[in-house]
Amino acid sequence: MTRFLVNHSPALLLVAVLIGFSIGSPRFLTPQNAVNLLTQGASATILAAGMTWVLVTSGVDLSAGSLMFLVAAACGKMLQSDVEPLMAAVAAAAIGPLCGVAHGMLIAYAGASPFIVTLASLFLLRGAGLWFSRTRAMNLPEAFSRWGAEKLLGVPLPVWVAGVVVLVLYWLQTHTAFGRQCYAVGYDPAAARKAGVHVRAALMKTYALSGACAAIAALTALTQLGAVSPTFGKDREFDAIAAAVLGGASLFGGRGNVFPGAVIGAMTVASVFNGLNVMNANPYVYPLITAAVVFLAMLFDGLRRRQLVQSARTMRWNVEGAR
Amino acid sequence: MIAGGPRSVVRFAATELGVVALAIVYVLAILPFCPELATRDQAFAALVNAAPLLVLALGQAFALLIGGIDLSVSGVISLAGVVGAMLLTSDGGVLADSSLAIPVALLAMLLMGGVVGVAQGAAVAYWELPAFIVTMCGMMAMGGAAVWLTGGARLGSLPLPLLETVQGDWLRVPVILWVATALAIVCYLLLQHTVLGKHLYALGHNARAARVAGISLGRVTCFAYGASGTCSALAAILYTCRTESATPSFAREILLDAIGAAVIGGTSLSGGRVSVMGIVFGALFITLVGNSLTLLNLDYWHVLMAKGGVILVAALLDAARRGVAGGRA
Amino acid sequence: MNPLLECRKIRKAFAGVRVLKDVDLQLASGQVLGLVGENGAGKSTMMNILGGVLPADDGAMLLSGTPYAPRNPAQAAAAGVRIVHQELNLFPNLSVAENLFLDRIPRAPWGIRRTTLSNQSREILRQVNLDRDPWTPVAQLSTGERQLVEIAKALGAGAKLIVFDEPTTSLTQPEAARLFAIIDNLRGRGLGVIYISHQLDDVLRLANDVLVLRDGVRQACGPAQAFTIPLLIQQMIGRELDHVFPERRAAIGEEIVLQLRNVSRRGVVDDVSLEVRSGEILGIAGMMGAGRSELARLAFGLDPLDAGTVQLGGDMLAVPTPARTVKKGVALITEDRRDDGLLLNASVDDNMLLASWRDHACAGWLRRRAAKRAAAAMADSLKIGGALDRPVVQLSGGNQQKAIFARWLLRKPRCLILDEPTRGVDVGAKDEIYRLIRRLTDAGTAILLISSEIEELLGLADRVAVMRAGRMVGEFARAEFDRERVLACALGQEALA
Repeated sequence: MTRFLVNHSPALLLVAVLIGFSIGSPRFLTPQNAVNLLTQGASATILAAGMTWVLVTSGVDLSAGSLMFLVAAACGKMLQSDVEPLMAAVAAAAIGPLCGVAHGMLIAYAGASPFIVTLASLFLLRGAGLWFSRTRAMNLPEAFSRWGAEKLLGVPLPVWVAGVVVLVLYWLQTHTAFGRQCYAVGYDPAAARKAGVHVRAALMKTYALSGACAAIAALTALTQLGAVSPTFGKDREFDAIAAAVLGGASLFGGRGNVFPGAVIGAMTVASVFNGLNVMNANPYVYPLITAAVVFLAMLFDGLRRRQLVQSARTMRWNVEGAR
Repeated sequence: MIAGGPRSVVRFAATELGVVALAIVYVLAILPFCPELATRDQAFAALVNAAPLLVLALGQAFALLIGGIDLSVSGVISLAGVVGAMLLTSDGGVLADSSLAIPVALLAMLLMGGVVGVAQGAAVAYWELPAFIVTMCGMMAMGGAAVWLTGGARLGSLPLPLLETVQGDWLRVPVILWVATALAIVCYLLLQHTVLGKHLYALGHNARAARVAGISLGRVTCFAYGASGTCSALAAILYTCRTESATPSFAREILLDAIGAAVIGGTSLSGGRVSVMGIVFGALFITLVGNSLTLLNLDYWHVLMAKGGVILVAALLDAARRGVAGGRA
Repeated sequence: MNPLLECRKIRKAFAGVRVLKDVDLQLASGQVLGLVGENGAGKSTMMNILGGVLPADDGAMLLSGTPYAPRNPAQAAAAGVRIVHQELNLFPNLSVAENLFLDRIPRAPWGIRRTTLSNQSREILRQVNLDRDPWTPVAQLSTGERQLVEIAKALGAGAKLIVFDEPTTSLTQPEAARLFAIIDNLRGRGLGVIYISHQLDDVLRLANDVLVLRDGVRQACGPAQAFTIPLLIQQMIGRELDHVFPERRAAIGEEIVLQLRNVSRRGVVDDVSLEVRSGEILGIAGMMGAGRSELARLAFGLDPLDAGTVQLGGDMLAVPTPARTVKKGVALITEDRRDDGLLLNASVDDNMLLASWRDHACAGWLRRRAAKRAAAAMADSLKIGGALDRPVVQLSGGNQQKAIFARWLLRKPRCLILDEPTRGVDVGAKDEIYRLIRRLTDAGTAILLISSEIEELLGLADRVAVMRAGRMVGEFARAEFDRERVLACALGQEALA
């Protein structure tokens, strides 16, 4: 029973959140809001999937939100100069993996720690984005923002995008050697190197993936918002970390999965904010709630880790006394 | 000294002299573009601007010394500033008319910073959570709380006696400089001449060995983060008085300045190394960079990018130093 | 008979201490060689040289007739030599199949060839009789099963020679029986096996030949049938007495300084009670993994107790922590000098003063000059030469250990717990440490001495308690000291002694 609860705690938590808000507000559990929730959750899910990947290798990517902004600003700039929308999107999206590779180089080859590198990037990339946008909000042409409302087989396009990204990452994580090796890297990089894993290459690819996810998440969110504001993407990395950890990823590395983990985690976080929104909560408390969610998720992660260490120790107990 | 290959360059860059050399090279390089930097007024402005940053960097150094980090700087500054202003402000402040208002409010601000710091330290020490996430939550929560309390508005109308004192001079030297200098001396004495200082170093060098030697890791960790929080609160007092108002959304970039000043001043990101003198020069260097960017009329985004770049350089410098130290061991 | 592995005159020394002296070793394909010896006889060094962890100082190795000198474990593995370590190197967060093939997962354009991987894994797992789905996470396997996976990994990589290092320490009886069947199987398939163990009956049962190492020397070698357990024990002990242990000058005191009652910690220490009086040395003997170091950590408060009590000088410690026990005058020198002892990049005197800054301070304010004088005087009396402001990492092993002794001597401890105090220390420093220990007991310090060198225990201790599998299984008073009996007791062969 306890085991069931622990194994399925992410899903159970999501259900609890959904039930809680359904009781709290009659406007939460409606078909319209469900579509809203899924659409809003699309970019959060993409970002959380990338973050989960980084956490699995026992790193972290604090620059995700700023990178989103840089991609959005670049895309907006191009759209304003009448670049073909699709061209603009693809060109802007390329920024993501490029920045990711730069992070990967500094982390894997120069030996700097992931959080300090991506912390520097958190500011650097936002600065670059503000430079592109001249700190002004940019309205996007209708040709671009109409993608956000488009539906395919009755499902909004952003949800399709999120689905495809999750599918690809899920496949990479479970069905390729690279994906599996990342778990070894996160569990113990030195042991992984000894076991013949190319640790540096794995890290490079990981951060490139995270950058790509941030870029796609930015474009997805952009189609829905229709405008780039100077605060676009701010603090989104926190939501992503919270989502990843709520979905079962560990800040200590080696644990977590894109599907179902990151998806459930992201939907939980999205539901919380959607629910607060539906209940007309004071928007000023949102950062407090984010902080609380991240903290609780982390506390849970710490406890789970201790339990694992404990059970590993018990495993060593030998019934050998009689021998 | 510099002619001995990259290793000795890295080693030299880690010393106090290295920072001074860096500052001189920077000033000489930038001087053709903004000659004003060398004027007496500018030099003086750099000193005064460096003072609150020095306070922050010294606080950060405590966290870095034990191998941690404190990202909650901007949150503490915002919340402490707001708390102080809410007590003091003449339009509706809780203690507005009391004669004890100023000391009580200042004490409350420092206390708030200290308590928050100790709480973060406890989460790091006793729950064994990663420091950067704990303090990042702290930054979000406190920044959020400050905005929530004020509705996002700046709080002004602070009592004149306080502003005059902090902005004024004492013995022809700005009070703000006295405060920063005094704090630097206190930190130096604490680190070099007290049991606690030795224990902080020990924890940064090797936490396991420190524990076996009977040092209580929990208490020392709580102290380090408590000191960091208190320093941030002290900086909040200085910033609030200088701008004559408290802002609930203090710029997060200040964190970069604090970490940059500490690390460029020779503090190691992996613990066990700190130099108060180095941090003084580090804070001066960061301020010089900031002032020159302002003089060059650069935009906010350039400043942001430059500051991110400085941290990147500091992180690489630190990694290189570690490599050099490791190669020797 | 064409030997699979041939080692000639292997030599190895650490910091001037010779741990392997011209060891010869031969192993034919399809044979099991049992390697036995006391702790510190050189077995693990030999194994590390074979596995490419350490280079030999001198001598030659031939593998299938070609010169073999691995520079790292990867090279050794490529040549077909695999070591199955006591602590297993698996990733519990990955599946069995992934662990088996981590560096050469079969790929296809659409990803991992899962069926190929499954089939190959099943094939290898069948060779070690492990009937598990290859996609089971390793975290769900028992220790015994993990060991089988480790063996399977070696087989999958095409090993010709597998070295087992104490493989049965954490196995249940049926698991061990299964392991022996597999080793038999490996032998039948023409692989060479080196089997290192303290379980002498297992060694005699499994091995074709047995090699006894003693003090780094090949003491005896011959077919297993030629040995009996008592004969093996006789060959194992008898290290050259190159130390004169200083005589005690003061009588043992009356006061019980350290008392443990029914101390337990799940998985490592099981219901242990002991007491040490002032001026007394209680030695703890036992084989690796018997729970001796873990007991020391419990007594000092480094790990939490699951049950039992710790009393210091009559005061009960409800929850012992290092900070509390140190305050009560207890000191611990662990076996892991690098991680638990030294601040490697800090200066020698900072290292020496680490535990006693408080004693050299007034209300938290250091008397730095007095502290430095005390450190200098202590360094003088322990003959730690050189400047005290250089980093401790530059000192020799012996001097590093003396610096840690100095750290605790400066506190004048009432009770000193020593875990392998002379490991990795040269001969001269060893003698000094023995004299130091005696000086302390003469001054009334109670000492709990853990050592793998029986000579050291018998030479210094007043009583020797023996641990096996987490329990106290015997105690010897000084009058009944007998190397053979102590070793037999530690090996679980009391009946023979």
